[in-house]
Amino acid sequence: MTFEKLVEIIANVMNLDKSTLTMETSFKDDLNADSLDVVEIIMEVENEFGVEISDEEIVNYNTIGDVVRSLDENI
Amino acid sequence: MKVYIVKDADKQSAIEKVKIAYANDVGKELVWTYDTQGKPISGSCNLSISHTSGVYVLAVSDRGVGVDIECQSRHISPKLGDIRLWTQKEAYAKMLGTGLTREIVNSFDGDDRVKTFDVDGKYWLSTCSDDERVEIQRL
Repeated sequence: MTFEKLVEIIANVMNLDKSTLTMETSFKDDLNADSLDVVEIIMEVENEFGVEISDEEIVNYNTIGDVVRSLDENI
Repeated sequence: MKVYIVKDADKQSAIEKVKIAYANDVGKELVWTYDTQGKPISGSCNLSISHTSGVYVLAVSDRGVGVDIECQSRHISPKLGDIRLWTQKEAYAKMLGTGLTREIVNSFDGDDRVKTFDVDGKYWLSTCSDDERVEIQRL
């Protein structure tokens, strides 16, 4: 559930096919996401999931799996 | 500060061109490495790097410096302002070395140390530094 919602957001922000996204997908290495992409994704995630993500946490988000695990822990 | 702009070259070629230009300008070799956050660090000066499709920019100064370049046509959520403002936030954050904090993203409202340039009607380039002189070179 979390994963599906999250890849929907990422696919939207970055204009990608969501079927290419997996838990191991790295924002920087696989998607070439830059800071603007990350900020937009985080903004949508906070909106969708009703959470607030700190700057310290964002630094640790390398893969989609990292975000999923963090969100699941918070919910 | 010196700002070198390289268009239509891959990253490696761009880096080589910058190093040659710098050596010509300053008579010294420009060497740098990256820290764990991907920030360029050099023993002899301060550096900031930015690249986006088709263009690579490197700024060098003896004062702290931040630089960012983006395509003017790049889509950005209206909640974040416009892409020109975004380059200012990035340049500012890079000069401070903090990275883009939530505070900067939400509350940055301009700063005297930030200058913004229109590059070829295609890109916004922002620099941020206490170094007021900005010498831009196209390579």
